[in-house]
Amino acid sequence: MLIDLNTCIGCHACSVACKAEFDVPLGVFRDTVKYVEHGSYPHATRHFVPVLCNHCEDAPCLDACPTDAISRQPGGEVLINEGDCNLNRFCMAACPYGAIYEDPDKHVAQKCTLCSHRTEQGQQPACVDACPTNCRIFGDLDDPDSEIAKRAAAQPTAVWKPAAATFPRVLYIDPRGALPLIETDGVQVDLLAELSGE
Amino acid sequence: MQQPWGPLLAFYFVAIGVPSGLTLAALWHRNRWPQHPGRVERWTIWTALAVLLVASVVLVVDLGRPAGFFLMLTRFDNLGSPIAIGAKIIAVKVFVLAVAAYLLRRRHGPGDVPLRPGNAAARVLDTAVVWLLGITSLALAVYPTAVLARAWFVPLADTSGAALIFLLTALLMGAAGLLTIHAIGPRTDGAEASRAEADGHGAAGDGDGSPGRADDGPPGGAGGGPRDGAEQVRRGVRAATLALLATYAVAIAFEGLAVRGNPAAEQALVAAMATTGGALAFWGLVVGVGLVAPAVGLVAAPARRWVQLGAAAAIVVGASAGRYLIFTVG
Repeated sequence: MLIDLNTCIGCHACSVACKAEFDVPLGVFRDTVKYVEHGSYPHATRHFVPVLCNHCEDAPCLDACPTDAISRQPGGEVLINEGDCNLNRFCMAACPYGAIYEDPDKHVAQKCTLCSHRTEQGQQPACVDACPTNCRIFGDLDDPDSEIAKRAAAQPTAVWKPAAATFPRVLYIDPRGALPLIETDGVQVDLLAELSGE
Repeated sequence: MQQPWGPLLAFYFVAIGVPSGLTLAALWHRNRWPQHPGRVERWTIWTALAVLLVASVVLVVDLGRPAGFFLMLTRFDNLGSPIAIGAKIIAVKVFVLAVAAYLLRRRHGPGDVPLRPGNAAARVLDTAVVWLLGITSLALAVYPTAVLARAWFVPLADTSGAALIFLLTALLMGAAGLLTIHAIGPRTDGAEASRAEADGHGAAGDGDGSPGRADDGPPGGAGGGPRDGAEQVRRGVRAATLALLATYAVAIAFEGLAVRGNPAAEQALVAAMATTGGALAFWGLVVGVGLVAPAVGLVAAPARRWVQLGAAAAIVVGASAGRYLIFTVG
């Protein structure tokens, strides 16, 4: 997947579509939008960065799972087999992106599947369909004729947390350098802070 | 991000060092004083078994689906997962410890008497058990590092000295076990060792065979006879414990240097030390209670029984605090 941060407006349509598609419980996300404020007046700005499972080429969760419940599909998707998961949470501990969560209802680890049930039938993932600005492009990066491959070749792309060396398959077009700003959760807005109004 | 592991796993990674340390300490003790009766082995085997079983129960209880625990033992497709390997090693070690307990009972029988030599098959089995215990104990001593180094929230485990610290804290817990075993209960094993040494080396005994007490003789155990032999065993355990404490201090110092080359670990450590709880845990528990207090006690009053018990307790507290800090810092 390729995400163009130039056009993301932080509307959370992707998050809502994902929640609806998978009936994701409250408080956890397969797909969300982080936002971070950067700079100071009069040059302050806010960046929106959609985040989801990166389906890494060198996926730490896949190596970590002691019950072999996580596998890679032929298309490159990294999926969790719910039946084999005993929720030891080692995959959650190993994932540097926090992309895996504990489903409180099913008592299994869950994460983005890139909507494999939809893509197998030729449809787009729910988040891609829902995006009003078409900032998400889904496709085969290995196919040079695909739109995603052309866009990725035409512009410089970046990945989230390159130091983790997991080789993510979710690429970002990030000309303003927003990705390094969400390396830690601390950059997100403190909702409990009292605003002075100045 | 959801914090995947909580206090139960912290307890698990602390407690899993105890059986490794006890087993390795018992193997060293048996190799150093082979003629002693089986009290040390019996205590260490049953304590290690009990702690391993408690740790296993904790691990199972912590699972979101405890009924699926068997998958960690029966699946061999992902041998690159340290926690999968660890679960299998724990199972092997529990079995081998049970075999060792059985062999000890067959060779030893009730009461504190010297071990009986077995037949050739028993000796082969005994050797195999000793090797298996040594290998599984070493593996379990360092395996928390392999698990935690892959966790994004435990940056200290991803440093060059973390494995050494986990190994040393496990060995220190084992040494504390030996100190405790020698400080409580009858002091017959030292006397028996002394008899064996007297038989082998012609040393004179005092003839009454009464067990020597650590706190009724002069410090240092000067003199000859069984009391001298018993003191020799205790002195050896104390010396090994002091050597381990010194090595642990050096390892902590080198870990401090290693952290400086790892920005994530350094940041986490500085943040932890900036809090009152973190600083107190490190300087108070790890250094003060775990290193300085037992070292001073064992050097200043080595023959006092209560000093040995206090030093053992302090070592366990300090080593546990060290392992816990590595797990929680970050």
